[in-house]
Amino acid sequence: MTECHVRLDNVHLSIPIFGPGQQRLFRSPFRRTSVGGNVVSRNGRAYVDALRGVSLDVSRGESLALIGHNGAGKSTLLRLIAGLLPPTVGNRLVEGSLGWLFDVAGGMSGDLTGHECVRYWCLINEVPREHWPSIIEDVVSFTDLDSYLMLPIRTYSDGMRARLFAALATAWKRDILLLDEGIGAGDQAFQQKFKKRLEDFLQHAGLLIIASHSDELLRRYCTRGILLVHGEVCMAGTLEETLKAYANSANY
Amino acid sequence: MFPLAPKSRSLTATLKWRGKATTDGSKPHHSVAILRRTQAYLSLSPLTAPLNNWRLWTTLGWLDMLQTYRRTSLGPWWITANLTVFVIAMTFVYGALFGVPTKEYSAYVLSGMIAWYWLSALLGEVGNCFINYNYFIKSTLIAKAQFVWATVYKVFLTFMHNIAVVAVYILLGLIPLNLYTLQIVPAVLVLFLFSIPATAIAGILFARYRDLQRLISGAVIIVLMFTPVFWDANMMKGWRTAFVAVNPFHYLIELVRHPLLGQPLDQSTIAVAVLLTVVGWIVGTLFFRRYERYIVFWI
Repeated sequence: MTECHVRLDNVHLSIPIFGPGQQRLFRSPFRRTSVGGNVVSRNGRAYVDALRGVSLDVSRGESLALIGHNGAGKSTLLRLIAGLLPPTVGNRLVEGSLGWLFDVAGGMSGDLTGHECVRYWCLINEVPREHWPSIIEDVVSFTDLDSYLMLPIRTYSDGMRARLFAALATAWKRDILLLDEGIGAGDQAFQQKFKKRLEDFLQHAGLLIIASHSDELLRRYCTRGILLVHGEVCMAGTLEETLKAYANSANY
Repeated sequence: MFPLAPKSRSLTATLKWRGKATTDGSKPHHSVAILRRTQAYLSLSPLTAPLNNWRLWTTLGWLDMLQTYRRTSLGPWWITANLTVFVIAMTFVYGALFGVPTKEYSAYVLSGMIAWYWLSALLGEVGNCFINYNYFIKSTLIAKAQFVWATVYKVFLTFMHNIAVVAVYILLGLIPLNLYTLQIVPAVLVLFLFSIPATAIAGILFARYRDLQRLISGAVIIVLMFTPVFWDANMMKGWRTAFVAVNPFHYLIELVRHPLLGQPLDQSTIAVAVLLTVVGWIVGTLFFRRYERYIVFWI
């Protein structure tokens, strides 16, 4: 069994803001808002400090919930773990293969049919050719989209897209799975199926990280939680503790 | 530009690291060693990475092409149709103005325009290579060089559609078909290779400085007028020959035009094209290596 581990040490991420009139951003209303990270100025340039000093350590079989207000850095943190955003300072260590589902658009042109999407996805994710038939079969049986897979995906509803891309994100065996909201769009039947699939995944001792505002969703899958506030880890603990802390912070 | 980010590995460090023969210290067979050394030199530039996964950039480029012409009756053949109409119109107006025989002028403009389409893409269109694929950059781990190759491949596909008109000219006997025509293969290869670093640099600059696109789209028409596409280079007299002699676009156009017209390539054309390609790869590699990591924040 391969190692499977996500570890961040004191990770900072500053995202530069471009555009004329960026100086305007330093006026008072932007300095401290209840949403988003902090806007700061360095060398006359504007940055959003999206993550500040984040450290975490998740290993095989664990499932972590990322909790926080809008713009607290949940999605940014997931993208950083995925390797899509380079940390400005600090270390990122990820062992094991990564899979993720950040939204249900998937970057696919709406003119591709469902079947083409699956193949395109395999190509993009560098899945070896010999595994393509099994993935296609898996997606067909999991999504229940049947003949809709022959149609361009622009004809799909959000829920149908969610089915397709959730199936893809979990089709190719990964050690680490990162989920961001999105999957909430599926209906009851789909949620049941997806739950079963994620449970199997965790049984095989995968590692799961979910960012969501839905307590119900998080309670279904996660055991640990991290509360992010303005890009900083406010508290880390069991899921219930973290949810309680979040509820308290949101109420006052 | 982004002072807190760590520096990427230096070129010499990469060379040393790639230079390691085998892990156990034994000497590999020399054919393996040659292969390794080739790989080592190829991997010196992050821009060569897509060579290992050519299916991806060809698919990306092809799908992008289909996307552009989706739901049109002619599809990508619109490129061919536009060129044909343009060349016919130019032949009637400018052929008469310059007093050149219609047959010759038509072939001259056709071959020049085919080359110009490629070069004008390098000046404008290709700069959007990262902006166009911003979704993929933000949500997949596809190597960024793949988007560069995909964009150049799209330009190449456009070129191939335009070549159809040349085939018709050859069939009609307006252009001779001879051994010199074969030079088009290495010529296009050189142009393709030159386009890779040019696209990478343009893509990075266009992503960071959005004014560039507007600025250059205005400048393209001036470059077209200053470059012998519609007029012959020999028409320039006196000090004005400098417009031709120091114009890199002139040489790149000649590179494509001569083989298409069944004429031998000048040595100066070959020399300039190869030089541009080599310099392009050196500058492009350094530039790409330095700024690749910031692209995600700029698009």
